[in-house]
Amino acid sequence: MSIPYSRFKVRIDELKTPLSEIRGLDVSIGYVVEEWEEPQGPTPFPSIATLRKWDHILLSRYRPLYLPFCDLCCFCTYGKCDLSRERRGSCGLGLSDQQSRLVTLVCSIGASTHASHARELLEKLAERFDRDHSIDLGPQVHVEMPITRLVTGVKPRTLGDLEIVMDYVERQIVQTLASVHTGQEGSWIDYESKVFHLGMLDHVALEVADVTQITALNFPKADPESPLADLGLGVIDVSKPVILVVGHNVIPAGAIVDYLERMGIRGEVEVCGLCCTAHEVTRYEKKNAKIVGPMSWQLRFIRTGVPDVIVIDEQCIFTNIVEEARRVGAVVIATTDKACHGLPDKSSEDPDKVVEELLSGRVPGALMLDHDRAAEVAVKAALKLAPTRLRLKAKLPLEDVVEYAKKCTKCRECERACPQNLPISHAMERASKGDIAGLAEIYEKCFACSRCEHACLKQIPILNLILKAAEAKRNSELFKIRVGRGPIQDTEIRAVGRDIVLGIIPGVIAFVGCANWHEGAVDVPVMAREFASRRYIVLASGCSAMAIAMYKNEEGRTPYEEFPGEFAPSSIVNVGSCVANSHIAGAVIKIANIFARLPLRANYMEVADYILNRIGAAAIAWGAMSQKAAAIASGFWRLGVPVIVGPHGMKYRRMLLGDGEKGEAWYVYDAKTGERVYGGPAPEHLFYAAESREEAMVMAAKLCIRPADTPQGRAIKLTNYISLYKKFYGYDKLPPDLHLFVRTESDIPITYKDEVLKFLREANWEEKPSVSDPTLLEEVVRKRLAVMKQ
Amino acid sequence: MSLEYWLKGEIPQPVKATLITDVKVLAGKIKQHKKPVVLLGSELYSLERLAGSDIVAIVADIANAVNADLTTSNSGIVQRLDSMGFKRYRVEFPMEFAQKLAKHSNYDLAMFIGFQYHYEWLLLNYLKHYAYKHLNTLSLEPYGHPNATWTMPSQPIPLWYKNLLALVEVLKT
Repeated sequence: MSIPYSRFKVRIDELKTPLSEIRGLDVSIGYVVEEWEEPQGPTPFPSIATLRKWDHILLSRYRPLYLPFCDLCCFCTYGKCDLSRERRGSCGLGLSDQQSRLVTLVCSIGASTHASHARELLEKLAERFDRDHSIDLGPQVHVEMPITRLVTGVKPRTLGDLEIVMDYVERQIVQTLASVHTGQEGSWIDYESKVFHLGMLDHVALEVADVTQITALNFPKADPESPLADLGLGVIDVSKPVILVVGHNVIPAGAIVDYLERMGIRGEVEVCGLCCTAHEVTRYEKKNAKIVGPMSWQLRFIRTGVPDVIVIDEQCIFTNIVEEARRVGAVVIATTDKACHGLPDKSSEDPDKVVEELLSGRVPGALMLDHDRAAEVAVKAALKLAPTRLRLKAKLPLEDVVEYAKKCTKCRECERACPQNLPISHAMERASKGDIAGLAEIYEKCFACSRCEHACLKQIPILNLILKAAEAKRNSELFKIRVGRGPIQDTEIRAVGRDIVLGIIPGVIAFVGCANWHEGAVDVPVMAREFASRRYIVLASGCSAMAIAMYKNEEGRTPYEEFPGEFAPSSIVNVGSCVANSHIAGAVIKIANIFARLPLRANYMEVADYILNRIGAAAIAWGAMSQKAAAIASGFWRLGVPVIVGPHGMKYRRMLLGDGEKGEAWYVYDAKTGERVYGGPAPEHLFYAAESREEAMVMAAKLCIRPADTPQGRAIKLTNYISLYKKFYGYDKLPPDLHLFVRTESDIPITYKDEVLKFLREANWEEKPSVSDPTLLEEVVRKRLAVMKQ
Repeated sequence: MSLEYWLKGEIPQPVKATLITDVKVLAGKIKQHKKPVVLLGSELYSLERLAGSDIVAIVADIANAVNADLTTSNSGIVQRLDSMGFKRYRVEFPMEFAQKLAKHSNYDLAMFIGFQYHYEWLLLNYLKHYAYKHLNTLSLEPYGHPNATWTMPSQPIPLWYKNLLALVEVLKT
């Protein structure tokens, strides 16, 4: 237990000293958080080792499968050390320990980034709206901030109450990061435990960030019918001055919208966003503001020359953005000290003078830490720059593409630099003969990193050629996205909690994370639609929520127009930005609390055990790229929610795989009797990288299976597992591990009964008892038996 | 043939592949093994498009020549194998199969073809460190792979295709 500040109050009724006489003095030291009627749980403000036992239980089942990116360690001056195979470094660390250490470092970066973001929102918005501003997530949300309650035991009522929560998170991140230092932690399993700890802290920070902005800036409050916003490169009105906001922090973007409204010129300027700031500005304004696309659309959009002013805040910004902006005659305004980009600090200068300087070209941009001034400069600069930049918005002629392509020597250096290994030289050969279709095909999979251009020995602007070839495709990007709704209502949880736990709703699938998709954005909406059509509850956040919008059915409707936005079967729910991932974790926690009535307050292990064994939920982070995504995923692991990543997700250095054939790993306690019984490999893995979307879909259906499924629920889940498998691999086939998931004949889907029975006979399958009250925790058994004795 | 590994930035590690540029030597290595398996990845289609040929059929020929099993998780490849009547294959998800290769299987050689470069690079590195006592690996890709036991070199697609055909012929003899 690691409570950072205790409540300390002194009342002095009467104090007489030679100098003075004091009566009725109240002194408070530390934070005062209002008491909560629910009794304190066992693990308030957990420190690194508090939940270690739970982590080790998970890790004994889900062992790391290491995928080292580097076989060396170069952290200290003893090195470089070769850790290949069973060698150890000078400090004693082996390859497995080192990989887990690196994952700890990655997750520390991710968690601290979210914590820093949360702290900045909290400080700025508490200052603007007062520390006593009530946390209000709408009339249907009574269990606000379930992660914070579960982890810390604090039930925050005001923004000021969140300060103690952030103090705790920041302190724990520093403590955990210290373990990465040379000569500290020495075991992979304890590094992995720290990874889980960081993930849990990350989720708390996410929740603080999003609840702060929802509550202070009046974002949609658990609204299933939040408005639809425009999304895509084709939705931007290029006849107006264009301000592009990039990053994650809404405050500068919100200030721009406010300034335009105050000046009465909102209709005259386009405000559009990339990455999570785009989500936030649409949640803030709920009209007018537009979304260009996911983070990998940055260079795609900037290279068109359309944005006049680019306002950057924090995270996931293309770090050469100043140079890119300069190329197209745009200017950059940086708004946080975390990402200054070498720009001169103009925070305290007269906005008109800054505009003049920007327009003169003497500086490529400015650092403006005062967000109101930054907004004024952005708007004034856009209004003045736009008319002068019409020339730069002109398009690259097709003849130029062909001429450039003729310069290509087919050396393939571009392909060797391409993270997607795309066949660029083949496409260039076609383009040199006037056929640009190959370059247009590359657009679908290219995420515009421009590594190809840096590698090109002939200085061909390869990305520009690809963008030109795909011009028609780009202009047809006209989509609708439902604005991020924020949390799930308590009433929605009540309506579906039972069916999720029994398995009658086959699962909750969350599409989360970034835009590093191997096959382009299309995989995400295809998967989301498939699961929504199968009565799964589909959730979405961040760049994945944007990708889902970038698809139209035969009637020309996007998935957000096709499926409802409530937390219910056959729905697609956009919760919002990266920080809104907290509402996905929050929803599964609320199922345990609201439906199963498990105490929430500082009761992490029991709730996570419940989720792992009963709530069929899985996340698909198909394009996960960042350290933040790693931290978010690890928060889900500790909660017992498996995560599937796409092929690039292999680069996170290790997976967490169960071994379905290892029978002894899958025993659980029956909480009603205390007996050890076979629960089956459910969920089989905790972290898994799929090679293709078909594999990911079959795997997601499998990872929604839980030991506590009722026979009816298990049959529904197996129906989906089997039918997806057949859909992709042939109607004459069954999943080869099916025997592991059938406990009794009642679990067998009626549709496939004969076929499955034949398969089971051939696999020498034997009936296994199903367990209705599975747990991995002896404490839960003791608690349940004590209740039964009473 | 280039002796370089393919993707820029993939710096060879202390334990790195032996490059094989002679198809006869390659065939000899494969034939040394009693229980080989070939893993087919989803990028095989891209290679087929670039080569303009049926690579799945060539891989099936390699498997037939040395009595190897095939595994894949790609639905299109499964359909192709079914349509050509090839029986000795299994649908296996690569990550789960890599785990089996390291822990449970009695395969002694795993050959890779048609995977995304980085995906295979990392799977091979797992096997290099955690299954090296009982398993050799071989990359049949047109891109040199430093984490395999043996790798074909990075080479232009037409040349790679010719080498694959030559390999089949040598294996059949």
